[in-house]
Amino acid sequence: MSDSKAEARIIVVDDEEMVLTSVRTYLELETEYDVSTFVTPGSALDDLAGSRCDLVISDYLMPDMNGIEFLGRVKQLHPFATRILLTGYADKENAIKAINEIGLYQYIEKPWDNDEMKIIIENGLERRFLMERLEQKIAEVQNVQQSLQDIQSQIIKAFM
Amino acid sequence: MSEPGTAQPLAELEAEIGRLKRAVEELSTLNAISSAISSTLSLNEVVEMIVQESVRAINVEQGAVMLLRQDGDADPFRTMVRKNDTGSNIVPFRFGQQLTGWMLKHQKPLVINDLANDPRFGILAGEDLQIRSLLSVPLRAKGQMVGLLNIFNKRTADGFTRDDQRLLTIIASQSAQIVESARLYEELQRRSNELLDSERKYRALIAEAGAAILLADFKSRRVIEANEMASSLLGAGAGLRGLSLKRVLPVEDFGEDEAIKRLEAEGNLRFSSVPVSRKSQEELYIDIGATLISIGGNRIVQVICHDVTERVKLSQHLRVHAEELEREVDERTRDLRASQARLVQQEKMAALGRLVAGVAHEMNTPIGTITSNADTLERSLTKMRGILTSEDMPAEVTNHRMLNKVLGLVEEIARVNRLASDRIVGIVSSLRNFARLDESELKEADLHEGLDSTLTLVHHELKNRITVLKEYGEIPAIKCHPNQINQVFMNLLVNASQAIDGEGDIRIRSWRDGKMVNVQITDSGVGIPQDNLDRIFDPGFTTKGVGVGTGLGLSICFKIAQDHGGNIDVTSKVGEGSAFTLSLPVSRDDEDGQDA
Repeated sequence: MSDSKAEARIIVVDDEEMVLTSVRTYLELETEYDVSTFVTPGSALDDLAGSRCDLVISDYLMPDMNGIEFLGRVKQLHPFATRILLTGYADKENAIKAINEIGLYQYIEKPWDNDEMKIIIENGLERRFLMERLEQKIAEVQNVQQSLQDIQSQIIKAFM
Repeated sequence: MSEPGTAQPLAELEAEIGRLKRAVEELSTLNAISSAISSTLSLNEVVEMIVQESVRAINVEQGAVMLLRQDGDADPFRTMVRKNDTGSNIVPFRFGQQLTGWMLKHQKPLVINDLANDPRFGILAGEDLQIRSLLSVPLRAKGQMVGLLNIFNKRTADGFTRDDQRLLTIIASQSAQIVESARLYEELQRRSNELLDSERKYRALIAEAGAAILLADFKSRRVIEANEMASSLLGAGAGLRGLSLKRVLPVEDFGEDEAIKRLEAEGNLRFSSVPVSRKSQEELYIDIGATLISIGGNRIVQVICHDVTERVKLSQHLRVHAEELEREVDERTRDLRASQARLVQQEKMAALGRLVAGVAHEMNTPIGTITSNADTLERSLTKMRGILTSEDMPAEVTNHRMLNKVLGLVEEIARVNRLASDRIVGIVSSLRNFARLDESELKEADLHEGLDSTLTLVHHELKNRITVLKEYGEIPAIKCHPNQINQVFMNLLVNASQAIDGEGDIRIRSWRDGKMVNVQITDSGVGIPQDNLDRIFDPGFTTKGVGVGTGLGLSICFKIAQDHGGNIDVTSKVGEGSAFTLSLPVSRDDEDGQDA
């Protein structure tokens, strides 16, 4: 079941309200994507349990749960979603470690440049949909291969 | 009346004649002795003669004169002369202890005609078979027994007669005086030898004393005696005798009269560590001690001088050594203080760095928001402008004067806001760069980045009056402590800006030169005089008051450069400006070793 990129849903999580506002207003102005913001990872996870999610941007240092942990949970709920960490300079090293450990797509350093962020999001979404299509295609090919094999065995049986 | 023809009167006559003969012989013996005594023969010869005559007159084998010893020897008598009848010296008979003991006790003539069987003397006789008979007579002088006159072994069978005893006694009394003289003479000889020995001993003592000893007459103040060491120490080749004390003693300003007065008053006088100048020899120091003594009623000044050159030299060495030590201590103290100052400075810088990093971190979020919003605002206004001027907008809206005006203002504000927020981001980034917390590790750093960051931070020093010309060359990243290198740039740039009075420029050049990377900061300032150039990197050297910003000295910059295996040097011309060049090695061989 594939969704279209044009209707992609982006989730932003940060314990600072002002960050959420600035990211959302920018994205709303410059893109057509559906942007939802959450001030706690817990509330985001509640929402994600039942809703679409194509890309997540999360802060690293948050009171209840850090960004790495949160993004790990997101992966369980939406394995195809692109996960991005928003970090301050001082946390950069931890972020880089996490990228390698749990496989994040990218990290964005605060303070960020709006244009750069937009490019990362676009690429991230592109990747997400490509991955899904690829999976589908692989599944299709496997199906076809299976069918062909069945037909082959039928034909062989017919000639016996 | 006697009858003629009888033997008795003849025999009596013969006996008488015999007696007369004997008497004549005796007399002639005594006469011979007498003339010998009054002759000019030596004492020894006289005594010899006495013994010889006695031996001959009494017809014995041997005779001897023995003197009573005064020196406490075990044998109380000493044989002075012994002779046999031919006058030659032969092996004497031992007189033996019993005999000497008897004579000492009884002090009267002793007659023994058969020693072996004499009841008075026992086993002794067995020892000494040579003495068969003896006659011993004491010699007296001034009532005291001073010796013995002995004769041994009468040749005739009749033994010693009364006459023999009588004769020997007379001889003894005649000889006593002579013998006593001989004894006294011997005593004198002995005493004289003792005195000579004593004198030799004392002379040796003085000569070998290991110090110079002088004796001078108190009245005339002239030297009467000096030992060898005195001559060699006080340097008078020909001897010191007769010279005045003033001349001899090397004490400067030797107030002779005053010294003598003090000597008299206190009995002694001391001079310590007196230098003796000797032309062709090494320096010498002596201690002089003078004492007033009395020798035989005369007042003598005894002067003893010790060579204390070693002691003096040692104390001189110690003094020099102490001075050297003090100097070293001063130097070390200075070094320690400099180290201490450096450490304090480093600590301050570290604390500052931590503060700055903390502040920058705090600012990240709000600055991110502002920046993003400023950008979004601008974009939004652009869109609004687009909507306003689009075709489907009524003309009165598009051309609404107030709307356009306000929109224009907002657009302008939004633009400036964005510029302002961009600038804040730049400053925070520079601050962060400047105070990098990873200072304990070496990091690959781009020096240009460091320069740019630092330039941003000193911008307010430079703005409007100083132009910065950047001539960045191709240089590789360097493994270093970036915050330290940035501190050096900061210091050099601040110095450069302070050197420029009014307007001017700062040129920053970077280039690679083989194994080294160079960054040169040149200013068009007042320049540094030649004398100061040599000292400019010395700790504590300054020509102005406390600088702005870090307060770091060039000495610390120098140390930072050195710790990185590099160098700073300076060229300058008064009136034209100065150029400081920081050189750092591209790579270091001891990467894991020395850490600043």
